[in-house]
Amino acid sequence: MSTVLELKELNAHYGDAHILHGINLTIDKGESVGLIGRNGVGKTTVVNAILGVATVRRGEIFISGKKLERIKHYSAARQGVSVVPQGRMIIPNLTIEENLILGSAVQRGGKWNLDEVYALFPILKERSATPGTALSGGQQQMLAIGRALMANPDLLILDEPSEGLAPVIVDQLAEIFVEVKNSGTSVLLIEQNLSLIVRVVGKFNVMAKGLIVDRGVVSGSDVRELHKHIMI
Amino acid sequence: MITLQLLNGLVYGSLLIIMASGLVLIYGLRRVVNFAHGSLYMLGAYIGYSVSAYTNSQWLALLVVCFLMAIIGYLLDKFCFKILQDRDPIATVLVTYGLLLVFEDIVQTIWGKANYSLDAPEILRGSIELSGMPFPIYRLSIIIVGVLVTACLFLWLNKTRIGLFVRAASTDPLTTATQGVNTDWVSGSVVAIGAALAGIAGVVAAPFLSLAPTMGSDILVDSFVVVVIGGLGSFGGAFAAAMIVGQLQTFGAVYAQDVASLLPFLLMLVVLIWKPSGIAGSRV
Repeated sequence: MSTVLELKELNAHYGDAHILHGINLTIDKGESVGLIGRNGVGKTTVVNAILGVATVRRGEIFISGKKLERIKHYSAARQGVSVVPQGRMIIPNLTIEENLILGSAVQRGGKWNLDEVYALFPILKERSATPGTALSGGQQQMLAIGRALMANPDLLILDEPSEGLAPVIVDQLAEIFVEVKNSGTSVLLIEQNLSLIVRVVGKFNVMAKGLIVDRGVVSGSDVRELHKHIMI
Repeated sequence: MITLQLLNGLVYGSLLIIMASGLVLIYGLRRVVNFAHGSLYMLGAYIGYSVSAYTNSQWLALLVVCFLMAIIGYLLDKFCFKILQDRDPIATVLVTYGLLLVFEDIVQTIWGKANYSLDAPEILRGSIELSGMPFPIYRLSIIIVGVLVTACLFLWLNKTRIGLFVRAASTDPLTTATQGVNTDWVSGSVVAIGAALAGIAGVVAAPFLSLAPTMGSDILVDSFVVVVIGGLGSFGGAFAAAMIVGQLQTFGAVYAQDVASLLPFLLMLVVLIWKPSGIAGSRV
């Protein structure tokens, strides 16, 4: 099976602050993987290293087998990795439709286009001409997911997508993540909401102090079982 | 008389919007307040003068200036604005003001300190009668150029993919880049367009105002007033402000000569007290 993302001994920094201390992580095509851990352990820094926001001083990042050299902010998207960032980062001066079109900047062909995204999230079509930031938190999350899908990624990284959302909205999102996963797109779900992890991913990785300290298979695990791993 | 004054106001407002739109685009993308913009206008006018004198074609001069200034703009972005964008605003002001002085010195070295004038293209010479008074065709053509530039920029920003990327990057460059957009390339292109517009303004103004090494500083002040009144980084606001400042300057010169040069600054003061973010107060 081909690999869509491989991190080898990844060490990442913000300025002089050494955040990641040798992360090893592999995600195969079509696989869904969870990354869990408490606040401040470096989960988002993993994403930021892939996006060139955090500086990688040691270690390697491979996307679909190709090593990322001189990482630019746009490199990952161009190689098939889309990110739904923490805080959604909707562009406020663009309409909903324009935010979605921005997601297709890399112009990779595939299943996802405006019609498909609108079919998945009808509310976005209804309000397509309004500014993205006029939406509720849950709807903005849908827009961020739709924008990421517009790139037709091989890997979709979701950074704390349930943050600040009502449980009923999180349930809807879980169904959508499963649908995306079933469409063949690999998923890396970074979450503290363990019930969402259990419903979406097949494998989990536990982070602590900038390292992956535990791994396992979600199948058969319940939330309490996962919680024990986080407490390590 | 009033009609002619209104038209004269539109002429100066059109020059200002061509200049200010470049400033707005550059600030919107790079967050750099470009004091060197006036010198790009001056450089454009002088290069246009030389090309026109050599080839006897003002149209060719316009094309050559457009091309050369775009290259200069792209190089400025790559080697200067890109580095300056995250620096202290004081550093930005000092460097871009330094560039203004350098460009002025270059112009004085090549063309000297004498004033020059450039003839209008033959087809645009002469005048037409408006309200019983003659009005130069060339001045009308400046209004048309201003309208065309504004319309083209509006359509480019609002109806094209690259325009969408420009608007997105002006608000959130990081998120825009993580969607796969090379925002450095977008910014370089936008600065190139801004510099080309300054050059166009210089060539367009050359038959209407005389060429002097200080001509850049003169229009730069009014252009900054326009950008501040319109709202830093707002294209629509700059357009409205350019038209208002153009009218203030021309009506002031006729009806309030003693305070005419102060009127734009008074307006800026009022706008800054009333709405510090400017008329529009938003990004590109």
